[in-house]
Order: sequence, then C-alpha cells, then structure tokens
Amino acid sequence: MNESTGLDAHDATPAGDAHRPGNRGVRPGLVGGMLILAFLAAQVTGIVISPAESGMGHLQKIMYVHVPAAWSAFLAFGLVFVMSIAYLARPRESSDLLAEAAAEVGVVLTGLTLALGSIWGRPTWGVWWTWDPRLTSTAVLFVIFVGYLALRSFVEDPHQRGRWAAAVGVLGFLNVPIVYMSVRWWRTLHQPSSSPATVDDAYVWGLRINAIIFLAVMIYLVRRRYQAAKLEREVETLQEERALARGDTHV
Amino acid sequence: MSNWSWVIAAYGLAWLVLGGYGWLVLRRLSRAQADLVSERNRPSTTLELDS
Repeated sequence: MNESTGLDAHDATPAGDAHRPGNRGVRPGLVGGMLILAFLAAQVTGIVISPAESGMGHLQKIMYVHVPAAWSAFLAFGLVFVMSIAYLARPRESSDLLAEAAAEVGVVLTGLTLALGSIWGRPTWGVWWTWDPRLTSTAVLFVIFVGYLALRSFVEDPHQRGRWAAAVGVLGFLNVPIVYMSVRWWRTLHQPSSSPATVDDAYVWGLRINAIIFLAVMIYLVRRRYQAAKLEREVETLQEERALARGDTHV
Repeated sequence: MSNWSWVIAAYGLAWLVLGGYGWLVLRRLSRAQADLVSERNRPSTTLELDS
C-alpha cells in the first residue's frame, strides 16, 4: 500500500473494467474491519459493565457515545487548527487537504453529538432542544465548520481556497474552548463536563474505552478522506496536463 | 418510551451516522483510485485517421 495515495499494489496494473469508477466494491480493509469489531466490543463493554445510574437509570449509557463523539470532534477541529496554521505559514497542498478531511469528519461527529444530546435530553430534560449555552455554542461550532466546507466548494482557485479556508479554520477552532468552558462560565442546564475526574469509578472504564475507539475511528476516517482527496487532486492534475498538451485553452 | 428504547435509538444512530459516512468515504476513495489508474493508462495522444 502506498502511504500517500492509498493505492494497493494491484491498482498499478493496466486499467480494465474492474478499475472503472463504481465497479469496485467498498472495502474497509483489515484496519477498518478491526475498528468495526472494536467499536462494537467497546459499546457492549460500556453497556454491560456499568450499573444503572441513580438519577437517570440506563439513560446514562448514552454517555458512552455522546461524550466520545464530542471529544473526537474537538480533536478533529484541533487538527484543522494545526493544519490551517501550517498552511498559512507555508502553503502546502497536504496541509490544506488534511485540514479539509479533518473538518468534514469533525462536522459529522459534531452533528452526531448534537443528535445524541437531543436523544438524551428528551427523556431527562423533557425537551429535544433548548437554547442552553453548551448546546448553542456546539450548534454554532457545527454551523461554522459547515460554512468552512461550503466556502471550500465555492472557491475554485486552490491557493485562494486554501488561504480563506485556513483563516476560517483557525477562527472556527476558537469556538472549541468556548464550547468546553460554557458549562463553567454560564448557568446551564447541561451537566458539567464528563471526564474520568468527574465521573464515578463505575462508569470511567466504559467512557475511557469508548473514547479511545472513537478517537481511532476519527483518525481512520480522516486518513481515508485525506487519501481520497489526495488522489482526486492527482487525477485533476493529470487531466489538466493532458488538456494543456492537447492545446485546450479551457482546462 | 422506556429508558432502553432511548439507549438503543442513540446507539443505532451512532452506527448509522458513522457507518454511513465511513461507507461514503471508502466509496469515494475507491472511485478516486479507479479514476487515477484509468487516467494513468489513458493514451497520451489521440490519433485520427483521414478517411
């Protein structure tokens, strides 16, 4: 496997029908398959080993997906921040594409966090949604990075797109500490941040295991998304070179 | 709904979202790999024969 492009050795063979778009099956590979099993095992472990919580009962088990999804989203946006700074300091395609991949995965995880929070909020608070500081700041974070992805799709020039996206990526990340601290800074319906320091021992291991697996899933998705973007850029470059060689004025 | 129904809904949603997105990413990667191979193997010039 080529690390930069994700191409297997057999992909370098001459093209045939098997290589045409859509003719190859979607395969998660060995790592992906192991992650699926680990994801399942972590969730079963969390559900089985944790007793019913005194106030919420079994609803507490939603914590094992809600909290790790939020943490992983924060880390994905942290990666966007680092790659955006790197791009602004030294514009490199890899920084830009990695930031894009991390932003997309972060948006998916933030959307999941919000939806899981709603599922938890309805039976515990009696409402699907409330304009609570934690919920509102998380929704703002979600919208900022949806805007980041929309911006990328509007700008055609790669250098301009990279610069503008990097600026939004850096500014957007500044909302992450606000989301995290919102439960301390303002009066809120949301419970304090869950961590091994604030959660009872009976629930810590379930939370830790699920957090690690979510992190691994996040890294896997970012890596695969980055590889896809890198290959797509390579295809575009080849098509542009071919068009220039033919003498086309519009590429 | 019982407590367990909410828990099952939450876990089901997590699988649906992550599984669905993961599938989309892998499909995109697979297509990009296929496009690259077919682009690399495309003849660099087109010969046209006069009839």
